[in-house]
Amino acid sequence: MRLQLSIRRRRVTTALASASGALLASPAPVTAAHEWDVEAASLIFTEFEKVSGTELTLSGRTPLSTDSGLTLGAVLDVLIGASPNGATPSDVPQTFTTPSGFDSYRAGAGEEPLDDTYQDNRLELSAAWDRRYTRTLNGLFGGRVSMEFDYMSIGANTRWGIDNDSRDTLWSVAGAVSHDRIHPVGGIPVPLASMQPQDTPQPRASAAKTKNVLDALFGVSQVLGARTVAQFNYSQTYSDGYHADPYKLVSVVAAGTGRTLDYVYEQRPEKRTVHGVFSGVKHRFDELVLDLGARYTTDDWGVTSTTLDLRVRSTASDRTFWEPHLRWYTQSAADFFRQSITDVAPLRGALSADRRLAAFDAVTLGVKYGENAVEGEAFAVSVEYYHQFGDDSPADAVGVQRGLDLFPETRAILVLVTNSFVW
Amino acid sequence: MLKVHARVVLSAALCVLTACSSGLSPWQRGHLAEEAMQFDAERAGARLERQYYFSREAARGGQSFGGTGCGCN
Repeated sequence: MRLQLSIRRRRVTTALASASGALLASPAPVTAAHEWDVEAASLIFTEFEKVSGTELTLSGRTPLSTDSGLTLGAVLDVLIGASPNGATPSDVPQTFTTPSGFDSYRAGAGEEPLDDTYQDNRLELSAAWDRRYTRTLNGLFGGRVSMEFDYMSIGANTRWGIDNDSRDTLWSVAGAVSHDRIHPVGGIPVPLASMQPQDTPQPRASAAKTKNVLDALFGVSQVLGARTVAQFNYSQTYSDGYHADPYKLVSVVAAGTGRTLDYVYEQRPEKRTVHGVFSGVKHRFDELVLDLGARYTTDDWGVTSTTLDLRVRSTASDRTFWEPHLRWYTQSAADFFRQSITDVAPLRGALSADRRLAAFDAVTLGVKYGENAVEGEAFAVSVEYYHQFGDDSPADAVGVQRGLDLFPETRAILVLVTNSFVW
Repeated sequence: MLKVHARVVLSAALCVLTACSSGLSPWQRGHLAEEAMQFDAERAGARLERQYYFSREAARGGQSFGGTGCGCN
């Protein structure tokens, strides 16, 4: 009996010594300063008969002191495939000149015109320094540069957050500025000028154009109870400069037959202001988390959009989770969007047939499987299906256009893998 | 669903405007600390998804800033 008590006493003594040692050692500032909290993610997507891509990102944060840290990040995008050029399908084969002017590609009768020479790589590098100034106030300053072979963007951003004393309310304000420069293959097309045949001089205005973008965001997050949090944001984006896509065309069709007579380069307004509001709520039920978000945006180009996003995460297991995801998106067309124009319509002002400025709906349906974070390590993989669809027989279709699919759908599979760990 | 959502947003707005406190004790905040309960649009996966939508849809902003680059595809 005495022996057992002695052993127990020794175990308790040892445990207390370990515990006190752990408490004394817990801040471990020297060790923490050399650690990086790393996030890695890869997104692989393929759009049926269109663009496929791989996007990789790696970012890591290391503490510089107990109140500050440095985050470095990189993103690499590799895209290849066939990109819609804006022209409308026709009942006869069509031939287009590539942006360089030295080659051409074709679209068969009734087919969506796709530039199958499309290829793009993008590298983005970023750095940010964050600091906690007081118990409730923290700030971040960052910068980034994004490079493509025909596009460069340089930007800076800042974000500030302040909690109330009870830490139930977090106010946020963020801002970003960026300067973009586009120098497309072949140069900047003359707006509304006709595409010329291969190996003949193309209508070019200049070699490059620029655009400046200002972003501002104001937000508040609120704890509504032991199981519910909500967030509300307002954002505004103002941009000034060259907004057009230099690779996009607009078909000019005969007013009577609907057959294509010409292709002209698009033109967009020089300025754009977008307002957006977002509200989200998360509620923790006993064995699942409901995450519902809603976003509404409107801009002075006439585009309004609504996005609803629903995620339901199972929390029945401590180690793993499943998270079905449903996203619904709808937008109205820009004021200057036309799927094509007729030869009797005046050719002036802003004009684009880029389907990203058309009215359409999109649905994303997917599911994520993940392993909950253990000592900073977490893993998740999601598979999603994206379907974008619009009016394939618009009221302004004329002649042969009435028998053609004027809004070919976009369908894509997206596979996203995320991994976080301490290094 | 939308009515419920609007009610939650409205109550949250009122709560914020009146500087209300949830009155929760630290030991009652376990669920709020879970990763799934965080609003964090800056996670790596969210950034990549946002870049994908940036190149295919006209909307931007709301929860965070838009994508980066040309988006010409």
